[in-house]
Amino acid sequence: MKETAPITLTIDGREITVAPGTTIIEAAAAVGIDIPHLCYCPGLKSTGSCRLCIVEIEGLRSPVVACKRKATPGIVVHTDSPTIREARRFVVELLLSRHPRECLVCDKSGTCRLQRYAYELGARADHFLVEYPNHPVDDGNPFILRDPNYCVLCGRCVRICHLQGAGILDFIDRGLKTKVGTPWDRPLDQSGCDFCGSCVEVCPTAALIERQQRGRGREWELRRSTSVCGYCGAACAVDMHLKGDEIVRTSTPQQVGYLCARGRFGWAHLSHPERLTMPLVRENGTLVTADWAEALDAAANGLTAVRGQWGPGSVGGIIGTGVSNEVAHAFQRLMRAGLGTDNLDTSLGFKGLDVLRDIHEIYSGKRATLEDIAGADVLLVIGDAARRSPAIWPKVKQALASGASLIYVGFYHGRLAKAASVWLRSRPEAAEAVLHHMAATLLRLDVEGGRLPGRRYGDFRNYRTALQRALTKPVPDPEGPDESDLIAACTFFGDLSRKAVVIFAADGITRGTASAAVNLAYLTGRTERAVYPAVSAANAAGILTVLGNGKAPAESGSRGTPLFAGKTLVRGLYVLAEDPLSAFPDSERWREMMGKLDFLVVQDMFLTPTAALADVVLPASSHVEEGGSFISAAGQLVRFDRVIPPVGMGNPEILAQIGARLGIPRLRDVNDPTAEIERLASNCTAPDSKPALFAPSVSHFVVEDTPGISLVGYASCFYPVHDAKLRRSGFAELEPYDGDGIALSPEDAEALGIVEGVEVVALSPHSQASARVKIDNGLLPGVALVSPDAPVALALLGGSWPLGPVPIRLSVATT
Amino acid sequence: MGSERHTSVDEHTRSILVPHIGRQGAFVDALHDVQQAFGYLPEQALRVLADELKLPLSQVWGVASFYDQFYSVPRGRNIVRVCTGTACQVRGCQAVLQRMESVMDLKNGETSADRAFTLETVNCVGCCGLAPVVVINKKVVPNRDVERVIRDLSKGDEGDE
Repeated sequence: MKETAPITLTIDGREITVAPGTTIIEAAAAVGIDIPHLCYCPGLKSTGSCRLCIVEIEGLRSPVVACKRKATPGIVVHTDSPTIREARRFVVELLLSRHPRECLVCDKSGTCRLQRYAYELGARADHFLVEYPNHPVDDGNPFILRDPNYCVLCGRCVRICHLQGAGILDFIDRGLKTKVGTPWDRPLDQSGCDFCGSCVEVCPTAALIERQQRGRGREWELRRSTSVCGYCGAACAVDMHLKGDEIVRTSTPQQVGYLCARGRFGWAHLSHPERLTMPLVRENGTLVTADWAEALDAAANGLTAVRGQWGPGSVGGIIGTGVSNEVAHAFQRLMRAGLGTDNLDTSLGFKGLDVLRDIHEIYSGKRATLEDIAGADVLLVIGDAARRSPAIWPKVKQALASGASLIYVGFYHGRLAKAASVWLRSRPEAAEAVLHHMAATLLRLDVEGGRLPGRRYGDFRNYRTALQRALTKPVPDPEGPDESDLIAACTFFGDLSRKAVVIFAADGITRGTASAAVNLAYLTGRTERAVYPAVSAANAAGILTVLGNGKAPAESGSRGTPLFAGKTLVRGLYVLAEDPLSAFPDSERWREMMGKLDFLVVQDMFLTPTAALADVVLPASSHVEEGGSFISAAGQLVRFDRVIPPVGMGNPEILAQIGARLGIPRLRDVNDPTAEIERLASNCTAPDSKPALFAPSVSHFVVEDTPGISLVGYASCFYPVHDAKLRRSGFAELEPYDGDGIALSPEDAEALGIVEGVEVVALSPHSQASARVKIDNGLLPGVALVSPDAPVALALLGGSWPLGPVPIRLSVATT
Repeated sequence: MGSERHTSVDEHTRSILVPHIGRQGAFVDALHDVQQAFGYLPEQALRVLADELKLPLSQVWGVASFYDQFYSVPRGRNIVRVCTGTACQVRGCQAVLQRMESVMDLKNGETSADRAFTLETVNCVGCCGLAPVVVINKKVVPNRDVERVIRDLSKGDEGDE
């Protein structure tokens, strides 16, 4: 029988009562006694290897390791006796005999645990024969500086890398030569590192530090302020460590938290030399620096003039999907109340609008959170969700570590496929069919029991009839899953006692596929917190909610965005934090349209291709310079404070100033989390629709058998360095393919006689583009992929955004 | 060409691993079998092994690099080991090693370009009475015969097991 009674023990003369299972180090921490430790790290499994946390227990002959030894009733523990201090000093002195004494210039000075314990214990650095290891330093990447010479072999980085990173670190070699390294002891950038930087955060010494931090400030000079990451819909909390108004490094507010590479290292763009600090106004055909009043007058007057000449319908606005609710709210008021136009658009018009807009209809329940993923027993992951929103991966890993089963629906033989209990192989266009087949299998396996909760829905009969009609054809992909895989998947997913979460990227799949996935949750009675609709854009949900009162801002045009679908003739345009020329499909068409405008205002952090065409350019701020809120992929209102002042005026103030010039005085209050935003956000979390099964239609199953190579947009092997902020935050150094990479299977590359890095001309039904080839072992023959919103994807996939597939022909470029 | 070669390593490795899949404690045995088959642990074979046994590659490398008897580079067809155990140390194995290095034109741990020979050291082979000893392809060779044996081997190059 498991003991559940609380345990009382004595530590350094203080009586403490703790729950059974509590270790001595945890019990001590609970009353503020900090037992020295290097390898112990709350949140990671203890290994008891550093021997610093040894303590004495009365009646025991030798000291015990406090991070491993559980508290037992009545024990009397001494954590700081002379014997213990002597033993600890011995340990520290041994470590110092191999640790370079560079504290004077070390970035870790002040937070280094070795330095701290050496000081506290009065350890001498030369007590033992000093022999430094002389390991080579790994400094070949922009983010992590790895110097094994400072390593104390505590293994924290190894454990956290396996817990939530790429799992590439381990102890290598043996004895005195032991070090932490990667397979074949290669540099991080050649070892499949994710650069999540989790290892850096837990390293107790300077063996792993942020490269960008070097020489820019030590802990006692820094203050810490919490904000939110703005790179994907996960909206992870980020602690900014600031020196003055400069972000020196970042960390997570949790003990063992996760930030992906973007969230941890993607901030250098804020102080990039190319960042706009002053407005620009076009004079005699060229953009020249102007003062703020002049530029704001020009912007307001220009837009007013267009409206005066051509009517309110001739003015339009485009807003980026990374801005806060408050800025979006001010922008739409400026456009609607100030200029009288409803022509508002975003990239969501062609990126996942079908799923994002109707997510309440697709899934009526409360959405799952990242913590629900970590705590799930079964995970069904469709496509590239875990790459579009990297915060998903560590949660999947945590679930797997606690015994969860993973079902992966996709074509890419990457880490998800490798970690999966069942891999339902499917090309993107066949994912919906595969999911319907899985539903049919679930129903079939359940035939005798008849206890699947989904059978009780009112529309179940219609659904089943449609399903049966649709499934007269076999799974269309000949390389798709077979019967036994489907049965295996259903065995895991059909176990109703298991907590299941379905994960997909709202902007990475079709509405049909999303609905087919949700059907599986409904059929098994998982109506609450069982679906996580990831999204690449930081505030997609918020932008849709604020611009459209929860509805889509406008109907999606056939070629993407409604603004230029030909319904209205726009002559004056205000673009906020978006770069249609680079980030929207049909860039040539956009360039042509922009050329016909009477007046263009662009508010951006950098002089983007779109901004370069503007009549007025206003320097935009980052969300961390404003404060405000996002609505996360989980549907939660996530608030954040301003952590640094804006470089220029800041988005809220710019909008307020233009608003004032257009006669709306109260736009200045945009930073108050208004009741309206809260109301809109609460609609997001508590929708009023009911679960309804999605009836498949036959037409979804017609998949053309395309010989040759078909191209899909899929987040996998390429880093999205075409993002203006990431590119200017060091990511371009990591990714040799600058938005022009096309990945081919080794078989296809060989058949075409193409090797890695070769420039090719790719011809799709939409366009022709030059690209460089990367050979990717994760791809099946016949499938090529491009990063979903890279310029090469925008060109080649055109209107079939975001998935494809489109047939492509490749030929080696002749120069 | 490259991928063809890969494919054959992949398939060969997979066939070696068949008896180890799903077996508890198969890992080190599997490494031995792969090394037996290739003469060393080729990178691609370790990648396949990690996938097949569902182990992180880092862990596979951690173990492979821990043991001296796992080799990550191709080895010679003939292995010449100079014993540096305690008894051989006392009886002058350093001189023997130096002599071997110059005779074979290899440094300790190296393999000749034609892969005929690998020269390495070993920590005691259990026949201290004969110290200092050299072991060539599992046979203890008396000190005076070493150079002749090597000459013969490089002529015939008939690497025996």
